[in-house]
Amino acid sequence: MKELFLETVFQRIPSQRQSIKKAWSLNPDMPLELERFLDAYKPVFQFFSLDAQGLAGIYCEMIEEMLHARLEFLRSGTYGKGSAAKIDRELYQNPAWMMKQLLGLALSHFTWGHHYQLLKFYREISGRKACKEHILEIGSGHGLYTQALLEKTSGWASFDILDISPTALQLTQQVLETIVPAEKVQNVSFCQNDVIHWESSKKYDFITMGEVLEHVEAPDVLLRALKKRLNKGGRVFITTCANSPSPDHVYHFQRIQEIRELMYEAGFSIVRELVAPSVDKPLAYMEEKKLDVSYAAVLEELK
Amino acid sequence: MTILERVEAILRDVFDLPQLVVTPNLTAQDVEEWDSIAHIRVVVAIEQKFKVKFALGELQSLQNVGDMLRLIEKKMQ
Repeated sequence: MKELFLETVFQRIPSQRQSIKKAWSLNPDMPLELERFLDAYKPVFQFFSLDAQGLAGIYCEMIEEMLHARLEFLRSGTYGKGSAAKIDRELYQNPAWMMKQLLGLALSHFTWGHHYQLLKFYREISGRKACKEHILEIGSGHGLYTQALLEKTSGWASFDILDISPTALQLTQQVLETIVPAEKVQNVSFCQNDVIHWESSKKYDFITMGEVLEHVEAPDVLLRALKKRLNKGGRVFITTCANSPSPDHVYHFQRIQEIRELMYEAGFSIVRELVAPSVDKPLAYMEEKKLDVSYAAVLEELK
Repeated sequence: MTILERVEAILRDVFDLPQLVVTPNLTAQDVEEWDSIAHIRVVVAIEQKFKVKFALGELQSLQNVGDMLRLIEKKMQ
């Protein structure tokens, strides 16, 4: 499946051959990880009637859309002019667009070096989680991180999954039903909602929120909402990005320091972080040239 | 400076390869750094330098630097 997927991608977008080769030369585990992902997710792909070529097609659509977004970003110097409400209506509630975006992003964790770095970091962080915690995942999306956390251990007190998109919840459910061993899927609940407006008073020991911060108009409000949902001593894991245009990215972070400052202002301290540039260059170069940088952080309440 | 020399300067800057020699036959496959994202950066740099604008369809048909030079000349007329 891997070979047919890659050949189809390279036929449609020849420059992807160079991009993926470069990512794999810096992260030698990635080719095998892609193979494992394609094998593991086969039942999910079958459920959504996708074969290798179909998968390559939607991956290429996502890449083409992102390249177009990058072209407009470099021309104008900024992005994020759409309103979150409009994006929700036109994209998040659009099953075809969401499935393309979610599976494309899942694949990007095995074709883009900086996304792979994020996933490795999360696997390391989640490996240290204790049982009997109350977990909240916001924006489960493609289910990769959900799978990573659930497979580490079992016996969570509760595992609540919140996503604004019904397609994302459907995809995550499929991942849990077909890939994660049943004994590890305990006390899991799904809720379609937006965390800022979510009327629940429940608090959590660990909140994980991957690639959501750049999708809201007021990330400071979102961060404060997360802090209110934390139990004493609880931690938050967040990933986001700077200079990473996408049709559904509403907030344009220009520098990593900007993200850190937002977290401090929301009352968090950064316990651990990962800065993952999309190109193997220093951060200052990346920010000067407005190149994509991914960022992950483990946060706890500022003491 | 000729158009080729100006394009060469752009490619050297985008790829961070000060010694890169650019000829009309040069293709993306010849330069390891010339991936999808770098290609977009090259396009925008050329647009800004030459004060032109490309349509996406025009960019997809480019096979080598020579095609790019001809397109720039056409846009500048």
